[in-house]
Amino acid sequence: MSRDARAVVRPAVALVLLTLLAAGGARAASLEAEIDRNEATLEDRLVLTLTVTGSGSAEPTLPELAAFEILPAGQSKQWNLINGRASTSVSYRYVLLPLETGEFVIGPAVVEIDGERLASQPFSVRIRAAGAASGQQRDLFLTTQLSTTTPYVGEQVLFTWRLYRRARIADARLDPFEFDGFLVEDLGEVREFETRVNGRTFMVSEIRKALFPQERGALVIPATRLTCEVAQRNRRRSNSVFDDMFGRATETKVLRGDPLQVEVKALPDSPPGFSGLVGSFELESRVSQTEMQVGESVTLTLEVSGRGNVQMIPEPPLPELAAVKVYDDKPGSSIKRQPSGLSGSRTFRKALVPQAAGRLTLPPVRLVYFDPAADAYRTAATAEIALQVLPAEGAEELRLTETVAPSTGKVAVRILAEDILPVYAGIDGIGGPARPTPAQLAAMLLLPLLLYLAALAAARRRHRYRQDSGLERRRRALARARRQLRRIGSGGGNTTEELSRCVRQFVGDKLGLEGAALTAADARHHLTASGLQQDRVDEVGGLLDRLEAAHYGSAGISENLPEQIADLLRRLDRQL
Amino acid sequence: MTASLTLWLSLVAAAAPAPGAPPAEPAAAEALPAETWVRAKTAYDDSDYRRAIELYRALLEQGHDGGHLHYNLGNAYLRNGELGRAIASYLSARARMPRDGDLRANLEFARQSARDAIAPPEPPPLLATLFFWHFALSRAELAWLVAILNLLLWSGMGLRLWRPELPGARGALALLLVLLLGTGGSLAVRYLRPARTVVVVPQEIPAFTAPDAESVIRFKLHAGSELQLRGRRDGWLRIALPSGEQGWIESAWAAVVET
Repeated sequence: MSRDARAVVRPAVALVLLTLLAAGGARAASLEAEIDRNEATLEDRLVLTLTVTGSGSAEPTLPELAAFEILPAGQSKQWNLINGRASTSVSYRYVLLPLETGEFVIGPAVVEIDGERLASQPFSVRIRAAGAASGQQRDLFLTTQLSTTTPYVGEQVLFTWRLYRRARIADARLDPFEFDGFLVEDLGEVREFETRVNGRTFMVSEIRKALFPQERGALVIPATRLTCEVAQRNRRRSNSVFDDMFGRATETKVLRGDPLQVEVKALPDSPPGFSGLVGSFELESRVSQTEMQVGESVTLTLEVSGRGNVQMIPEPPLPELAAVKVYDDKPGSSIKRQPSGLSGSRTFRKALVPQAAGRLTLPPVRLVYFDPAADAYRTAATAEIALQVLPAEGAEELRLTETVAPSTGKVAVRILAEDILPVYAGIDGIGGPARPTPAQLAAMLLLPLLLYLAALAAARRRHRYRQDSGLERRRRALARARRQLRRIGSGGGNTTEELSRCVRQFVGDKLGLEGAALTAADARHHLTASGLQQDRVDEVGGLLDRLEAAHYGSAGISENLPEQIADLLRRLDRQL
Repeated sequence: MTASLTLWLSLVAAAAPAPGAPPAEPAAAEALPAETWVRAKTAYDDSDYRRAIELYRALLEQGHDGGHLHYNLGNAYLRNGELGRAIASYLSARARMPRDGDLRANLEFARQSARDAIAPPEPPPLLATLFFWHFALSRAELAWLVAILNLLLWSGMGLRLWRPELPGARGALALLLVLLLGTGGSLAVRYLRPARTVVVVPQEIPAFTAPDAESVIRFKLHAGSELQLRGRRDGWLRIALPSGEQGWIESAWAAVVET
């Protein structure tokens, strides 16, 4: 094909393709609904596919499906060119989990595309009870059970969840249990065992938990959902790699137990000293020795054991013991989590140090708890313990440590009791050392810096004065002249001569000359040489002339002459 | 979830000091601080720990802030069975007197009673060795030290203006400058980015994934657990375990201590 021919054909092919695409895009939109089966059981899941064909991509609105739980399962988009007609379609998949049995009509799904409202065809689905699909007995089911549905507040309730299975399952996913209103304690790992039901052997997975209701009234434990893949029997082999997980086809099953209703009863009016324990409990006590000296320590052990809310076991109140010091030790506890429930014990140890010799009786220690089996409060009590306290040997009044291995020279020291150190009694403990406020701290940081800067400035000035001996004289000329004028103003002496000397001294200081030796003519000459304006030079010369005339003649001076001189010198100071 | 929250809130209420019987003595606010101090000590010795707590707290509310006051309050809390508040008070006391041996012993004793196996937030050993003064001095001590070093440095600088050839002055001033920078930096960190520790007060609390009581419970914490504070938001505290796991707890469930 020549170059000219190709130039003509290429645009033509493109035009044809564009026309075809435009025709495809213009094809009428549609909405189709499809479900993978019309009959199912409560354990099955159905897949609903809504396909929107057309230019739009809006997601359809599902019909009302109260009898199903709906889970979105993704979407896929396809573009097809068939017989020269192009079309696009978007498929939306939903998983429907049946919640009840019956015949249900799945109404039309709707979608609006380009202002056009499309609806799918309705269809019906029949949902039957699990196991009734083919009249066979069920190979997979689960049960939930409570040891009692009318417990007291705080009573232990055993929750048992079991999965019975004869089929092989995989990828089991159990939703978390919800026990609102209960304190929950796990009773070990998942147990696996075999059992026979109606003559058939099942593999059972069992989960047990101990629940302790915390409030009276009606509580509900919602049904928990288990989703798993089940291998199918007697079914044609699938060609799909994904369906053939076990070498046979699989099916997704969703199992639910029944929700459990619990009516929690309030405890009857409690007697004084009620410990808060609900269950069956025992209380035992023992001492490390029954005979000791004054100041010697003996360990009293109180052990509360039983079945129920053992994690809440409090310390039984010890009766007041006269002439005995009591030191607490850290309690120990042991909790057993068995399938039969939560049980355990808590041990409290106290170091008793008798302070007086003689017979010492430890009265019974009591623990009040509620026994739900008997619907009554019960009191567990220890036996009375008699101790013989002997007088102390030596002057030691209290020994908190004792030695072991006395046969060797050095012995290890065994700590008999741990306790906190006492409170601080000194009055000075109230306030503690003064802490500077941020403002005080800032002042303490800045003040030395400012003082240093001032010292630095003074040092630099001193240095400059050293470098230039006339500088200090020049800078201080005005201040010196002012001091002299103030002294003259305060009276005394020959005023005109003093004023003249003050002016000459000022001019001498500013020009680096000996001021006392200057005449009016010298002053004019040096001031003119320094570059001062002529009228200012004349003003100074005239002033000195007048003062001289007043000094030697009879000419008077005005009273405010010192002020005039001060003003003149200030102006001169700026210009010299 | 709501019922569980009710339970936890009731635990919080149980852990808070309940209003006791009206005292026969004059109210703590009317008494002299020394009188209240002695009366609190007497109540403690008489095993009336609730009253001792009330009196020590009254002193704190009056603005007294001594390390021994926090220490005594910690003792009273511990005797009264309030582990979380006891540890929080001990930590407050440690911030004010970090080298006190009695305090260290009692804090260690209290920590043994905490149920969670969580190591308290402490600085890495290398950091604690290199910057020992930061951890061994209280903020007040650090502030005074900085002020004294600052005064010495500038005095020395001033002296050099008049006596530039003073032997050893340059080295001493360089050392003073280094010390001032070290302690000053430490003080700035204490003021600007103070370390804060969260101490759990109720017997058991949930830590959520978000500052929302309806969110997922990530883990549970028990009284006396000490955790790093990572942030705050609308009455919630973001805390971190030593492993790095984080969660949110309501601020009413914990005491936040500047350590």
